[in-house]
Amino acid sequence: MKKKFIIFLTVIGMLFSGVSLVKADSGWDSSYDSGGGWDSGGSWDSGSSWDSGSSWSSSSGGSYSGDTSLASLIAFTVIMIIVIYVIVNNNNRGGKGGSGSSSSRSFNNYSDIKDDRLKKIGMSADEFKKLAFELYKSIQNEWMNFDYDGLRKHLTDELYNSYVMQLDALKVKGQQNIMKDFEYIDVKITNVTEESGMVNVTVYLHTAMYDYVVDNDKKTVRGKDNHKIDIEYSITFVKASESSEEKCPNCGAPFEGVAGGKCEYCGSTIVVGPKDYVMSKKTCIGQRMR
Amino acid sequence: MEEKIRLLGGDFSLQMFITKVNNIFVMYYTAIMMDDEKRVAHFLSDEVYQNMKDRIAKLNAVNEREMFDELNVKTTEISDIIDTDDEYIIKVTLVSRYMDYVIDKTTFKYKRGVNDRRIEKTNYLEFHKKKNVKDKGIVSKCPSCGASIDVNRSGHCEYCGTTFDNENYDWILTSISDV
Repeated sequence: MKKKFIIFLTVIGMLFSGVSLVKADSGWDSSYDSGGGWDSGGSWDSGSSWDSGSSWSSSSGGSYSGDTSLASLIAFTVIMIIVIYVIVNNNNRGGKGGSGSSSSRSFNNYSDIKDDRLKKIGMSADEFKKLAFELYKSIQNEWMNFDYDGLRKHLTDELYNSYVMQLDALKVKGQQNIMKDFEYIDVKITNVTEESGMVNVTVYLHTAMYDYVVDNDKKTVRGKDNHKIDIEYSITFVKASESSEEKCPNCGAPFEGVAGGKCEYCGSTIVVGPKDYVMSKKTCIGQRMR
Repeated sequence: MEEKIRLLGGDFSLQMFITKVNNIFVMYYTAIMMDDEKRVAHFLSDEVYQNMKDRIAKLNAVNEREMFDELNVKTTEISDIIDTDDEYIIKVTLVSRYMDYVIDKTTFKYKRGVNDRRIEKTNYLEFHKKKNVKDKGIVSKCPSCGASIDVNRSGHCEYCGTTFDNENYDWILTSISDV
């Protein structure tokens, strides 16, 4: 009950304070969305349990209107009351974690599947969770560094095409999305399916990182470079369920295929399912600033 | 809707189709932003491609670039599936988020629009796929000169310049509008 009251007050406070979200994350899935509220210190992304489902930044028409000084004063007062309440509450409980500690509380109620579906993955659940997090980190680093070759190996063709075009647009603006110091908080395997010759593994992934955008002069233009954000994703990884072609169907040479790979000998482009897991979809489902 | 999805055949994967739709959508608007309509031509019908070219031409005429900054798809839903004699039609409602503004192409100076927060828009898309499509096979070759091409990358043959026409093989975008 108290928790709901705090949420309600925060929501009201933020409505009046004209919070604007800033966006980051490979594929722009998150809202500075990945955490949002770079300007104000907090906002709630679509999909999080704190939100009705729509991003604070979204509006069909434009900016927030009617932002009077009285409304801002009310908002400020409300937020201060909440902050004081939380601090007092934590101190009274001898609460653990000081400022800057990570919250182990999940924003969403996802749980690991435990049934036979896990057998389709081709490795133990723990091994896959570790792989999923490492892949996620690699992709984020490749996005940050405009590493197209790296992205090519870790994404499906379609997602790769989207990311490349988005990165090209980022280059035009002369900006770079910096992401670093990733923390492994939690990974759960939430679904495994097999269809059209592909194994699809969906995970819930909870991490924390620094996430901001800099310009050509390395000046931070969006986000904050001194605050980590907590972010939760639903990510799907896929790979071919049967073993991919061992030989190039064109020239017969041994073929170590990756998604959309080329035969080293004859140069043929081979369209086969990926031999190793690649990311096909990533959706931000919750975020907050620490 | 599940019954209608079955009309599309056992090979149809809803998840893969939604992923395809999302990525084509992102590529479509990014292509407008980057003046690079050729990169998505093979995913579009002739009409949609021409409309895109006209839109880019109008912007270039006044030296402007329309930015769809930090574009992302929020939700995608199939709103209808139609089975005709010679093709399947899927209608999609897609909610996207982006900063929509215009800049001067030379100076990069902001001219108009919203550039400090993402706004949410509802888009209506239509995809068509011919029945009895050809099998692309697992080796992508240019239908014109036979050279090996990466269709998913650009759809263009680097050797003879032919665009790989997805119309005879896969779903293509035939209509796109927003509210």
